[in-house]
Amino acid sequence: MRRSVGVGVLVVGVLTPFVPLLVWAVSGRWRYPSLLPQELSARGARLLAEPGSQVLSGLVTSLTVGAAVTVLALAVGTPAGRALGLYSFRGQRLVRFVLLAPAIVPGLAVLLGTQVFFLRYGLADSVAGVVLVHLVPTVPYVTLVTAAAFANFDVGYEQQARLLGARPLQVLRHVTLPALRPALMVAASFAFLISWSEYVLTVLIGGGAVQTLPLLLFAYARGADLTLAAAVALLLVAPPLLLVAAVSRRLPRDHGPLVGLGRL
Amino acid sequence: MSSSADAVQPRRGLARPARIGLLLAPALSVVGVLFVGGFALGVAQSLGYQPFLDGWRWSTDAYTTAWQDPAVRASVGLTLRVSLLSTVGATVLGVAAALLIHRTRRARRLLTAVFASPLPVPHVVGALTMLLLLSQSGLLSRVTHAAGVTGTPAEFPALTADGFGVAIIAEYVWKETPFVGVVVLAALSAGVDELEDAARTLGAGGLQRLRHVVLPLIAPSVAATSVLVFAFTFGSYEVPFLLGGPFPAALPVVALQYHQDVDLAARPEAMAISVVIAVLVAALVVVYLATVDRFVRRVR
Amino acid sequence: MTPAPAPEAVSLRGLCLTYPAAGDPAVDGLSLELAPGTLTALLGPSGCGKSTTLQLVAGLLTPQEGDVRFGDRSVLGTPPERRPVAMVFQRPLLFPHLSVGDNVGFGLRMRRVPRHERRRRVEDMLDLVQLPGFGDRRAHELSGGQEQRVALARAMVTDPRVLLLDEPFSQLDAGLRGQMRDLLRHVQRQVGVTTLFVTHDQLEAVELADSVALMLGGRIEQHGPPRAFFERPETVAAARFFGAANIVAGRVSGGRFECELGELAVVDAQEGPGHLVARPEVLRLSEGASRNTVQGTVTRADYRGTSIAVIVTVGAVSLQVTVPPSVSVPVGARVGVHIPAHACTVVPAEPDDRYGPGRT
Repeated sequence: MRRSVGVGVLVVGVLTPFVPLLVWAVSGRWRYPSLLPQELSARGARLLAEPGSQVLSGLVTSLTVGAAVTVLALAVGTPAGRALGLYSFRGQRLVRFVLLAPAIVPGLAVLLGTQVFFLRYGLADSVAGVVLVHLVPTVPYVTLVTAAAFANFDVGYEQQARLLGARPLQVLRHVTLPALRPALMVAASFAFLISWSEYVLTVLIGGGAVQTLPLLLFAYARGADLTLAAAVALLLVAPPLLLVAAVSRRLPRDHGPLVGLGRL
Repeated sequence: MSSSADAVQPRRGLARPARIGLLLAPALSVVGVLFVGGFALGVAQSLGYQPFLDGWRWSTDAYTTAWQDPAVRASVGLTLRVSLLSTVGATVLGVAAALLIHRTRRARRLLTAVFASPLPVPHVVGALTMLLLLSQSGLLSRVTHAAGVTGTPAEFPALTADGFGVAIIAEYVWKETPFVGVVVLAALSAGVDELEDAARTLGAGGLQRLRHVVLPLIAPSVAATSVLVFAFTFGSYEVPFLLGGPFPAALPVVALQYHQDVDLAARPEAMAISVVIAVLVAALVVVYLATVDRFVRRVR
Repeated sequence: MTPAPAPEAVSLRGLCLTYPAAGDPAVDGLSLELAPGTLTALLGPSGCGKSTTLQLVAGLLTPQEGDVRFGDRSVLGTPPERRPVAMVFQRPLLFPHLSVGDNVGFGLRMRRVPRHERRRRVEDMLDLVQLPGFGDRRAHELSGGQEQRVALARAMVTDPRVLLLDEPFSQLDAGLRGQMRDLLRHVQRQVGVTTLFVTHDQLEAVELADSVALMLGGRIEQHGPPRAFFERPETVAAARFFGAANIVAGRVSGGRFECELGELAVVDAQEGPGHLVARPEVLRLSEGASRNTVQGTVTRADYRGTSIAVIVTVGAVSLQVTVPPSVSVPVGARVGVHIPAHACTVVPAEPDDRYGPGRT
């Protein structure tokens, strides 16, 4: 009995904040103090679908940056994960600390000092600069996840493949990467989610020229256009939720919720 | 156990140190240049270094200015308070939720999925939902109006843009409770049940098992996640920017604000603040690793 | 050593339990009586429901039907923490965050025994399991055998009325297992607690137990002293489990067993259909013909180190005979196999005879 009450409280507490978001996204006029919108409106949806709208270009920018960051973070973090997971060497603890620190130490605090240099070397106000700076919070997570996977990986498989005549690239493609697939899926999800949700680093380096969806959301929110803000928010939330659902279905049971561990 | 790569090196190809170095090089360059380099640059700029400009000199003035700046002092108070309360709240609620879910038999997967749903939500979205929910003309205020408790928006307490940070704390607790909960849930699934069975046969009742078996066993996970939550909330920008007021503002907000000030003289102070944030968080983690972690790991 | 309270008899009556996902019941009308102070081995193949039975006695599971009684009272409604049982599991399950001493004293602490007395009893118990002075060590510093000894000490220190052990030595090396068995018997005899010990290893059961309960298919097949399983198995399944390789179907009439081997003299046999059970060790190869000797051909002779396992085919029946390694038995030779009347048993056919009179 007490348990059901607890479960009820839990569910209500978790789901309640979603409610105003959903309602405001479809409301036209909704003045205080009515509990329900006086007018429903598809304004939000229309804005999304309009060609040339800010939201659409924001979506494209977010997707582009996210995809680029994911690919690069995987390319950079996976070898590091292999080094940390498969080998033991002197100075490993220090390397591990250095590589994982960006996941804990706030990005803004550390990267504030770099803005001038991004400006100077022409990387500010560009997608390339934003992608670069997004690597800082994402590479540690990719490294962490792949290191754990490599620690459980038996190198014997690779040797066996070599003995059967496979060349190094073939070994990578046919043996190593397939074995790492679940971890790579999780790592890619983390990287994409972190980049997708990132705001302050994009503002800092992108300078407003690179308008990703989080920036748009902020603009609408502070501009008190709550309907649009809510609509953009729903758009922002959809891919992460879908990604988590898709990935956790393909993974063994325990991994499911852990995939949701996007940026804290 | 997997065989270590050390035991099975092929004779041809690169020597081992070179191989490891090559694997680490890309990640270390990225992190080294941007993170370590960024921090070093931040320190330098806080001490007066002005790149690409003439006429600068080293000095610690920025730190003294920041220390005496009333905005900064108030900001430190707000940020610490918000981080502490959010961490405590998320930890307590997260552990409670994990224990509850662990004991649930039916629809546990569904319940876990619902509980974890805030996790992938970006913080900017979370901040917006709290704004919509808790602002003076927000949904909660309209509910109290419908219930006859408040008459106008002004009668509803100011939870957003306030000096205490209520909405900020609410957002952090909403987002971080599932984080703590999911990690603790994983720890609970790793053999705690068997130990509870053993404790039952030794005469331990429910509360005794909780106190003497379950809580000590999940302590490492709880400690680790608490540190992570505190570190994150301390350095987060988006949420206090949207949900907080102009004064006091959270430390990261103040730092960026000073950084973007037209008056370049504010820049060293901005750097000083961000250096302090970075050092504080790093120090917290180091202290954790040196003490709590070691104490709690003795368990294992 | 504090004197133990009087040991209790344990009575299991008609226990039934089917796991939700499974088709067949794990425990199917199981009844078993444990005499006070005895060590009973619950023996059976993997998956036959032994661990489930133990958990029913401990109270970690609730039966769907049946009763569990300690002495003269039912403990069915009592949760495990209030039953006077202690249990040692297959894995030591020592609490990783506590020292060895705190582990052993855990049950006493739950009962709010004062610290001084707790410490004294813990030390006494550690001495008894031959780990003197180990109180301050931590669980992860111990070897597997040491961990199980601590688990045993932890269970015993609370003076339980009933001690349950679930294959506690199965994860240890063979040599260590022998030592642990000796220790357990020593401790159990000293304390005199009624003990139920689950195992799938018949040698372990035979060596350790005062009485053996053989469990097959969710119920007790036979319960008695170890000897009975070798000399007088009550069912064919029980005989098979204990390695009686020669089981011949037939019928007893007029004091003689009629079967494919001919007419054999038997002792103490119930009239009617049944199976003759003769262990390989009791059969003899003989030259001449005599009562109870059948003629056959050697089809195999496998060297086993301490013996030779000889298979003699007599018509359609294959008989396995164990002979000393010094005896030479060429394959293909005609030999006689003597079946001593006193050394074999006839198991009467069961009402729902699974094996049928014509089948072995």
